[in-house]
Amino acid sequence: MEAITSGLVLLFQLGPLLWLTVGLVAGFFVGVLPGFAGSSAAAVLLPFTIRLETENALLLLGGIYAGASFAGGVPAILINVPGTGSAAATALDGYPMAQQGKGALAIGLARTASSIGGIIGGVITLLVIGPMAMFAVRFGPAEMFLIAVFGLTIIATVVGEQVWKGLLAGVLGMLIAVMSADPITARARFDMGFLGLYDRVPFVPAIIGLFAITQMVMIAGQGRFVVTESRGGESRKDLLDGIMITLRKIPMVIRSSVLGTLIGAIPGAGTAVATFFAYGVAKQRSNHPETFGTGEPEGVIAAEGAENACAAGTLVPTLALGVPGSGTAAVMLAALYVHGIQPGPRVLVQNAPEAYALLWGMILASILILPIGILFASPLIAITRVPPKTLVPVVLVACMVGAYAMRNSLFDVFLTLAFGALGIAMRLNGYPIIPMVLGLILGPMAESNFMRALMLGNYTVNYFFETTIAKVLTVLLIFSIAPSVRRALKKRRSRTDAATTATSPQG
Amino acid sequence: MEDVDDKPLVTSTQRFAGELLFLAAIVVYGVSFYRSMDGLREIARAFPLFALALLCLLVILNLIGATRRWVSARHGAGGPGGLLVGLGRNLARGRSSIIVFVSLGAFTWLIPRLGFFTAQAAFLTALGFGLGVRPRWRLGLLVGGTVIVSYLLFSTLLGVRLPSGLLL
Repeated sequence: MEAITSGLVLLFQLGPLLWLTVGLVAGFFVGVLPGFAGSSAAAVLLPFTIRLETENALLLLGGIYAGASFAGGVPAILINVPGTGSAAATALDGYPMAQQGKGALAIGLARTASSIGGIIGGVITLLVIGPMAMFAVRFGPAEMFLIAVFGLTIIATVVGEQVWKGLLAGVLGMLIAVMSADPITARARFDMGFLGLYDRVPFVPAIIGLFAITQMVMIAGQGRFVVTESRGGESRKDLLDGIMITLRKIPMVIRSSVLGTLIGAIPGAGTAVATFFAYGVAKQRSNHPETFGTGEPEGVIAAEGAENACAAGTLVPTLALGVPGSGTAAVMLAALYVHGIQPGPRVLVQNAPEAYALLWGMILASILILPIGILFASPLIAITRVPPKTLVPVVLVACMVGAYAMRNSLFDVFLTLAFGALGIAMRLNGYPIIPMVLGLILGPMAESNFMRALMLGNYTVNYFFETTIAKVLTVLLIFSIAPSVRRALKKRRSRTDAATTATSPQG
Repeated sequence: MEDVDDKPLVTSTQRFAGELLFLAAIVVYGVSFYRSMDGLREIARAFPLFALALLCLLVILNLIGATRRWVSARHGAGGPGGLLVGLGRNLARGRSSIIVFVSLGAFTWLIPRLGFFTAQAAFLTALGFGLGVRPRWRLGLLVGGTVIVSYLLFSTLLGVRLPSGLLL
């Protein structure tokens, strides 16, 4: 308890508060740019934090993390260009809402759910970081592999109309992700002679290409952006309505936030898994699952509530195990090392004030983000009223810089274009993009754990199902696919019956 | 996420052909991946082989699905339509999309040759003109404004070292 309060005392000083706010505002604006996710912004600012006090540096990066997580939902809602993989879940219902002229309402929902999610996630993390770290340690390679497969199947089955198309997109994504050298022997595999593919397929160009480039090309073809009717005067009212709707759905926000925090605490699982998982659970528990994907407010609430909660949850493995839970958490881990802090179970004893100040900072950031978000909402909503012929070129330039900036590599720019072409081919043929993105995220995690599990289990399959956690995950995996397959079969049977009736002479 | 407008291929035969082409490309990718792993240790091949097996199964399932949809469309109202019916019209409708993608390709090619900002100016001018940004002062404003803002934001504020080339 003393350690927790020491963090609070450290946070409520001028310097830490100032750096947290700076990080928050910076993260908010950077998060809106496609590709400039929290990890990119934090990576760019990392060298500048060396001169800062440890707690200030951590709070600056923590603020960026919270701000970018929060802002990533804005372009996802307004122009269907999620800045991060996790914001892709927000786009599923947020973008259809914007198309219906409810962009401000969707942003209001996202803001409030994100803010509440961040507070809940922060409080849970603060209270249970110790026990949660112990639980996360129990996830061995087999469990981590099953988590990856489970994350993929649940998304592939909830996105799009045809289950097999979603699953194919997901597996293809996984396969693209493991084109690089294998993680154990470091031998090159399918790198096609490109050095840029030896390490691993970079995630930022892939997501920019698949989402942003594809979306911009499609928008240019359609000749319209999002809304067809102006609703400028109603923006603020819609925002407030969004806040009220979210407050009325507080049990769902709590459920998504708890899920987000728990998934965030699993090393490597990341926010994308958390948001899609929360979205899938919300859809499965909903009384009207068919409305998900068509502009359902609950979809936005579930995804956003989980995202910010997950941002707090990822700090559990980062601080307690030294294993980053996400890209931004990886940059924060680097910042810890730069400032001479050795992450691991002892960090909560040896550097308790700094560690707990960071967790308190995440809670405070979630509180501050709501007024900041409302303050800057109107200029962002104005994006929807800019004609596509003006906005498409500008967004494309930002995309290309975003793709380049992560590794200062022109190869990544070419890769973005290649992924853009792949995304267009997929969309034209009705294959959903989101499972592919998730496959790209989870592929390396799935492979390294698959290999470790194989070696530990002496190349037997039984090892994958030995522990209770693995058994539970396997059951969940089967349950995640079964309803979708049953639904698809039922739909096909009814279509066949209808066709038979139509073609029969009596029909 | 996907709009109905994503499908400019209007006839069922065109859709079927498009999907066949897509699935064939995946098969080619899968075979190339498999062949690239010759000589690797078993452990390095294990996961890609597992994923490739899954991919094969899913390609077959999707192929069956696509064929079923095509066959049922043949028997449905209106018939399947030909492979070339309305293709020219649809390509003309997607003219802007083609302009965007080609300009983007040219932009990417020009960056290492002209430098980022010069290539960006050329890209914005060509794309803005192609998409119909008029009058000229508005096009100039779009190009000039974007180049200046991106320089200030990315180069100055965020410190991204964008490639320099022939001019800048």
